[in-house]
Amino acid sequence: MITRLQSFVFRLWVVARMQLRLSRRNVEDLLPVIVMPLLTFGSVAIFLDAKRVDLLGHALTASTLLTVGQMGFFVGSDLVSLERRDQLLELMVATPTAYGVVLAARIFVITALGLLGVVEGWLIVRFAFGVPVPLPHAPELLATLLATVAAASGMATLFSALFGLARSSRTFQHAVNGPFYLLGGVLVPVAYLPTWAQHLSPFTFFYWSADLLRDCFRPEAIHSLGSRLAIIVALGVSFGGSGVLVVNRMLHRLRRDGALGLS
Amino acid sequence: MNHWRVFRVSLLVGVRDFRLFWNWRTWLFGWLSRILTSAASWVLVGRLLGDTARLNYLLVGNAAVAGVGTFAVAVSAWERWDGTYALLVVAPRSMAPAMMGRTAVWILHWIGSSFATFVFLWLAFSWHPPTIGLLVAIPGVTLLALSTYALSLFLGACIGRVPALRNILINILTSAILVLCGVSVPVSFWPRWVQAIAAVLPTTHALAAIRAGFAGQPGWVVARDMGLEALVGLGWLTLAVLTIDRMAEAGRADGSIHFS
Repeated sequence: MITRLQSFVFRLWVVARMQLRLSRRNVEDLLPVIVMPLLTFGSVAIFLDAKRVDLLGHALTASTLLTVGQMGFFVGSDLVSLERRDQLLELMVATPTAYGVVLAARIFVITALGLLGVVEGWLIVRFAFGVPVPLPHAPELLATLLATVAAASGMATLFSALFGLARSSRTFQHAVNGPFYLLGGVLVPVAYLPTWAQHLSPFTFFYWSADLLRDCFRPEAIHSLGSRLAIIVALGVSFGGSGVLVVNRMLHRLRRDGALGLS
Repeated sequence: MNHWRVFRVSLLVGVRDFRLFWNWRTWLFGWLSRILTSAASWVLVGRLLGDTARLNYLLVGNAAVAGVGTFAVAVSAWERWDGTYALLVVAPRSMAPAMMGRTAVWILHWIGSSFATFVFLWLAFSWHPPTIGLLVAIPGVTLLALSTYALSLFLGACIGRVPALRNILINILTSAILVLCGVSVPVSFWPRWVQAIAAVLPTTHALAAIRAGFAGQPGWVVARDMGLEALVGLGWLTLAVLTIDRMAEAGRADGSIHFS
């Protein structure tokens, strides 16, 4: 049992290391990390121009979630499409490790790289605008970021499975990520949304992550930290688990029908 | 073949490119959904700030530039990957009309996106801007799309040397336009040296003209800002035309055309 677990963890480690190497060499993989924090300039400028320094935490929250989200939605969820295009999927499927697990591990690494966006956003506010941004709850912030990466990876795994195999990922990415950010209250809390939309928000992990991240930038004590973190992780695990199941089932059907390279 | 004919044929190629990229369904439900969500976000930011004047400022700025991207930069790189760049280089004419034609279709995409955003804000958020402002917005948006296109063309020519950086350049430039050119905060918010950069970027003056129209300022103010935008656009277009063939020549001289 231990040997099997060790072997599984070792395979995950190998996959993660491989993805890290691939991403380091491919500037396209790091595009959201380079670009999304630039949007911090826009939102911070709006808040400072309106003399609302109290809203800077909102800008940093948005910068963080947009970078992590884009790494998952745009880079991570493109993996299956790209492997189909390059005809690597057939080789990957032929290996003994379940493809869904490999996919989820690779997407986790890509999404985790999005955490660089937090640092960039903070540096922009601190040095480009010269406004100090205290971090009164650093350990809680770190825990929230890790939970957010897990949730974003789970979501991206499901999207990758659903739309990579359908060869329509780009259109889907354009269509869904905006509404997800809006419903999740990434920049503006969901209290400003119409009431009917607010009912949908808790089903997105962004809603929980954004709320918790904003609390982490405020000096007041954070309430119900454990349960809020648990909800974010639970959403991620359920999305990721569904993604692994979907991809394994679809690949099984394609292999059985001999249609993997043809569909 | 004269320049105009080359441009026309290349434009048809560009239309085919566009159709490969988008069909009416993906454009409506993919692209439009994205930019309309973005417009809705600015409405929420305005509400968060609790200031109607700022809300209007954000809506006018972001609706005007809703579609503006610098996608023409990427399209220029496609010539490399399609293997057609080398054929254009060996053709006896300047490459400029061919590059301009293939990328020009994206101007309509930007203008259509902006107008759709104005209509969406009007219908979904009961936003009722003054009619005169909307009338100024039509030529204003068209002009800013044309001048942004000119800059894209210039950068597309430069990026021909390092096509792998095209998407980064597109995003940085789009972010610069959104942040610096008076879209969300007045240009005067930034330090003087940043304002100097904004003055030569496309969008800044056209947006000032549109805002002048919405504020009911005299016609000569609108005309002056439109004129400045046209000058900026012409400047970038001249640079683009001068650069396209030079870059191709440089690629031919060092043999990098097929390898970059």
